[in-house]
Amino acid sequence: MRAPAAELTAPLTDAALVLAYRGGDERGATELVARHAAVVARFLAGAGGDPGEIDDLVQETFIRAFRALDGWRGESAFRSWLFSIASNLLKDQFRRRGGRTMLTLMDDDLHADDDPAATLEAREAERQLQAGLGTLPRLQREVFLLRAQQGMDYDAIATTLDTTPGAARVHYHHAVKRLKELMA
Amino acid sequence: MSPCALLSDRMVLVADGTADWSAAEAEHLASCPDCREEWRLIQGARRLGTEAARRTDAGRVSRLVLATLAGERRRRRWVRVGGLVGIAAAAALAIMVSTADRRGSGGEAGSIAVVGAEGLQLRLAELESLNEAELEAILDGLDVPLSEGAGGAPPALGDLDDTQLERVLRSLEG
Repeated sequence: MRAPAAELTAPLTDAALVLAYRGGDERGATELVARHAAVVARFLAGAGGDPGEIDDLVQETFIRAFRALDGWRGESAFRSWLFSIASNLLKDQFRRRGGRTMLTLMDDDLHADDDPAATLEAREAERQLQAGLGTLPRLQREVFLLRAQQGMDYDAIATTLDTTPGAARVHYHHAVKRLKELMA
Repeated sequence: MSPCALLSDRMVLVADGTADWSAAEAEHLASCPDCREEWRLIQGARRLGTEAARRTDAGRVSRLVLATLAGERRRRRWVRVGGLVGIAAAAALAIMVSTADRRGSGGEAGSIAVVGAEGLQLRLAELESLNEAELEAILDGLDVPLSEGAGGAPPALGDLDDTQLERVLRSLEG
């Protein structure tokens, strides 16, 4: 029996792409990078990755992920797994920098708007947010970003950062409270 | 759960575009400064890192990643091949040493066996000229169990009894 056309044209799942790559088809890896590289870069930049090293960190995230594919059994989303690796990379980078968090807002993060005053205000708000994120403990910062920037639920955040959903919820609320105070 | 906590949980979905505010939620958001502040934080967080994402060249990343992994695989293969060659070399060396040892300790027996074989060849050349009794005597000699004859030193003439000496003499005289 023929599969419906919609099934034939449906994009492959991440798990299927992982399987393809493990079977020797490099297009699986290429497609996974195409799907997730930009999102990983956003997370790394938001979480304090050195702006000059974001490209390298993204590459290293994927290299570590593909090296350890045998360890990914698909219990968590592939993207969550990438965030988990990226988080560990940031931890290493943080240690190398002697405990300093580097959070800088790129000038182009805010694009020109029709309303220059609103753009200026938004730019200032984001500068404050970025600065505020830099003062948070690592776990609070990453939970906040995974929730607010990436839209992940607490279960997925807990799996990604190796904590519990309840703890992730508490970290998020602590982060929001602290950021509100800093931006008031 | 308080209205603020409920709204907090919904904010991500609305920011994702997968849900809209209900009328009650919109009303609460308009009247609650705390929730408005959180909503602003979420909207700000959504914009963070957009330039880094825009600048990421996924094609370049995947090429570099795959090249790195291919290089690692090549290196691993060479290490494996090197290991196998090492093991094979060690095995060959062990065999050589073991063979040399055996030759060293059993060298005399080996040479005797060769001499014995040569002697047998000489005797075999003469077999056609032997009579029945002589052939019988040689066959008797060959029937000696291996444990007694082969592998050990040939019996000295002094160890043979008269009958055996007689047989040897007869075989040598043809």
